[in-house]
Amino acid sequence: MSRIGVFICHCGTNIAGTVNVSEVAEAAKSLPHVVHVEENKYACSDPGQNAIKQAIEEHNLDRIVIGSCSPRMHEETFRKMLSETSVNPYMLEIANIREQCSWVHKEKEVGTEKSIDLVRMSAAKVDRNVPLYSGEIPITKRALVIGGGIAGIQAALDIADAGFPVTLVEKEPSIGGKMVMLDKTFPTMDCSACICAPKMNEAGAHPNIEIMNLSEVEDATGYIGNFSVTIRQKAKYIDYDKCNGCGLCEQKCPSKVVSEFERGLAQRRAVYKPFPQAVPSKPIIDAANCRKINEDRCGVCHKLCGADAINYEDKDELITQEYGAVIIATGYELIDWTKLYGEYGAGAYPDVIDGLTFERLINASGPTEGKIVRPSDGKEPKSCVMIKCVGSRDPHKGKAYCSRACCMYGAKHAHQFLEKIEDGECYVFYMDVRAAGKGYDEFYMNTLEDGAVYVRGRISHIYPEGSQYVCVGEDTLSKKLVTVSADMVVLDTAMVAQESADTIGRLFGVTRNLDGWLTEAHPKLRPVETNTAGVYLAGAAQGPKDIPDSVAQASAAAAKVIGMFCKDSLESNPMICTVNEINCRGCGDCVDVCPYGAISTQSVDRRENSVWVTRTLAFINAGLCQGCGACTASCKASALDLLGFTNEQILQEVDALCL
Amino acid sequence: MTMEFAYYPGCASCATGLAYDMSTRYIARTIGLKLRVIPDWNCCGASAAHLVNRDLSLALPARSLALSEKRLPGLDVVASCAACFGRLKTTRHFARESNENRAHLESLIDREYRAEANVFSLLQIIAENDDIKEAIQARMTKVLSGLKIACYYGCMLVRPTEVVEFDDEENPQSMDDILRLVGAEPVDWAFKSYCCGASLQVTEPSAGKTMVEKILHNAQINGAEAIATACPLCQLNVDMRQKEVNWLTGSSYDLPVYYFTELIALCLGATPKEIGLDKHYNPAVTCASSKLKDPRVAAAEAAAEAEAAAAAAKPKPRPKPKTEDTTSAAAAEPQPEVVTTTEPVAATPVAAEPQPEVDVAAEPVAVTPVAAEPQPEVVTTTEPVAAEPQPANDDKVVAP
Repeated sequence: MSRIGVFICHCGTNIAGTVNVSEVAEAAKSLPHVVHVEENKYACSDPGQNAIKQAIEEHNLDRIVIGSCSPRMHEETFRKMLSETSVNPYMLEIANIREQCSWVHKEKEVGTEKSIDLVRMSAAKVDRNVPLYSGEIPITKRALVIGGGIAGIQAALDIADAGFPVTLVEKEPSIGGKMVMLDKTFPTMDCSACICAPKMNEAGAHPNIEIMNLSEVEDATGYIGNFSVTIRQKAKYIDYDKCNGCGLCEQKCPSKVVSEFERGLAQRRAVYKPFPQAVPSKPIIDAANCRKINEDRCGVCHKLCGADAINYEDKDELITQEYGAVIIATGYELIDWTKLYGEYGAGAYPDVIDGLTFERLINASGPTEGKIVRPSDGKEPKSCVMIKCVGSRDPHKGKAYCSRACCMYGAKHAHQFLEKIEDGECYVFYMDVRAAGKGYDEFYMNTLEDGAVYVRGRISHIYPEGSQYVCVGEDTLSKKLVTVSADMVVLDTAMVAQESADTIGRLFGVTRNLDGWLTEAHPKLRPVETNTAGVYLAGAAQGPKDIPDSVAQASAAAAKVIGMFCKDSLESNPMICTVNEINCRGCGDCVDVCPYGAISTQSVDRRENSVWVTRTLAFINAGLCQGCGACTASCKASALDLLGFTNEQILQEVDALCL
Repeated sequence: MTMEFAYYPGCASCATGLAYDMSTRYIARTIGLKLRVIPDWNCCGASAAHLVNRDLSLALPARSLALSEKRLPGLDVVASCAACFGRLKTTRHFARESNENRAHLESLIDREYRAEANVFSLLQIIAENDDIKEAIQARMTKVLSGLKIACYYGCMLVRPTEVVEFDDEENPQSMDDILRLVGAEPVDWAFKSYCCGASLQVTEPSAGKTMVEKILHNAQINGAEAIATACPLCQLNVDMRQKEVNWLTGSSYDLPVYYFTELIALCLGATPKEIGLDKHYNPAVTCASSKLKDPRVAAAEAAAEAEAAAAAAKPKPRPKPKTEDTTSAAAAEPQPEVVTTTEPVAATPVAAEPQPEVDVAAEPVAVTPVAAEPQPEVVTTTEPVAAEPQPANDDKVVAP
């Protein structure tokens, strides 16, 4: 026999202003199984909670109803309170007579009548409640960071410094991402490699960090605290245990290929390190261009290698490991503008380049040792046009969003151009200038003082004339057409999501928006979490951003992971689905309906009617189930029920209201 | 692939674009392309109608298309003028967007219109129809050997992409490919789909002339000897206004502006008079005619040139050191490179080659009716004979 206690809260005048609390309390007294009713000024306050706890003791209550604010406000509060009593925390029902009653209605009669109905419903439901107990989810205290750019590196360092092992997976031969390609970083004009390389080295040398270069995540299963991830370590053809990084192989390799790192401005060899400061500081062999691997000729590197580290027979390796948390930091790519902007030459003009290519030009360790020259003839350009928002803020042909970093790096490029080229002329064509950061606007103003000419308008046509490029545009502020003949044009192109983010997102159940960026759990309040518990985001994978924001997000994601790893185990949500094995016939409809992949069907042996039979039954993964109830509604055999919201409990509520 | 279409001539074909129509019909006759004129077709409204009233701009083409559907069922429509093509295609596009749209058009024109027949530009059907291309190649009696031509598409033929569904809007290649077939050398230039100013030449002449000047300038600096167009207004503007541009800017552009169909027709054996080549403002007869060659001759010349180029690229053999042996000394002399050709014709100057009849006399031009429909008399400017033949354009000083 239930012994229900009902507590109606005034909430000051929030409830009492539109609801006659005493009348509600009076009506509650006559509800079945209600043995105690009390009013309370502020039930959530200390004295309020103490009063409830005392009443439970005095009247030997075994379940309570609280008429108060929304459960989203204080359900946790009251459950915690109950955990200090003899009553199970889930023997609680909250009748929301504030947000859904007193705050909605104006007349007291309406509010009071509705509150009485709501309390009657809650009392009927709580009568059918059963005690629920949360389980323990074990945690594998090892983290996986996917993507070795600055965000991935920072996250890995933070987690490793906290004492937990981290695997850092990177698909390129070296970590460092896009940051290590840059020359200087705004607004301080730090040399990018000078600040990135120390972090790269730290990650490479850290005892808790395992770097897997030239590797990609191939498969993943599991749930928070217990992910099982399979990583494909692609064949490097070099034994890293033997290789000492001397670089002799690279010097003598006869096979020359266009260097991706140098954005097509220089060549590399088939056996190569993408750049001198690469971490790991050991080369790989690009099998597609290796003569030995493809034609069984050459083999020079093997002959020269003093450490006998070359292995042409190397194969891809699939490595499966357990992880407790995953951080996705796959970063960005630049949009392929050549396919979209035929009016800029569609890539046929060698001196019309994008921002990253310009970075390689002005980089002192780049293909021209930092001299700004035209890719076409190697001559120094005297005039330069920089066009912002190429592919960004262009819903018609490109992406509708703003790529966030271009206004600043456009100003940076203009500044560097004017610094390096004597009597240089630099025209920046813009729509707006967005310099919202510490020291950003001052940097932009400095660039104007350097002599950069900012023209507000877009360029409609670039065409070659002689050795120069005629850029036709408009100055919308003076409403005049503007034509600039420039030696070189730099396009500030849109950032787009990496293609690999598609696969990775699918593997971990992280959605992407229409533009391909991975979706955070809440754009304002939960920017580094995803809707999959245990999977976090960091850096440009979540949306275009600059280095300071990427690093901040990386540390935020690391903090979430460290917070999880500091616990011994996680509490599982007890309000999950259960399977009635008698009714379940293993049809598997629930498996398809579950948005969290929490249900699976398995063949099990059961003893029924003194006979062993093999049956297919549904099984719920307590770690993944979020208690949404979709499967419960879809089960044709009524085999599934949601603890805390069982069919019977809900029907009781309906009966209490309608009968 | 079909060689029969419903033909929408457009108003210009009967007036300032007469040469376009004449050359189109010549080609059609010669290669067996059946162009059936839509009976009682009306003006498409061009750029004027859609500035005034949207319904009018759609109803005018819709009527012609509906007539075509009824009287020439099953035939797709082809229009030679870029604006006509644009308006007709836009109307069909509108009608196919929704049943409401189509019903609206039907109520405006008071006729049934199912919007099934497709609409193509003349350039499009030649570029995309292998049978037509093969037929042209089969009946070519001459090639335009090495005529450096800037293919000017104008703004309407290849835009907007969702409507016209043809070629690339920034760097179209269809006309270039077709003229390459007949032996010309299309140049790479940057103003292929740039606007000629269209009716601005009449309403806002100063702005219009600037646009024509830009086209001429870029064609010239990229090595063009002539310009080819596929739109009567483009042809008119760039041709007729060239002299005025020269007066205004002190330049001396002298680029003949052809319809691409005129060039093809010449290669199919047409005389300039037959296709209205003598009606141009800027004399256009000599430039193309002087490039016409027998295909075998042209091929031989090309082969000879290629051989000479290859031979010149080969390193000369090192001279053997002189020895006391006088007999071998002579043999040791470095042999000069000898370019031999099998065709004696290659050695003769160009002027001696058989030329098609080029009528450069300034007789009053008689308009020869080439089609069933009666053509109106077209008054052309008389070109002074003394001015011809024109020297090559490369010698001219180009004013900015």
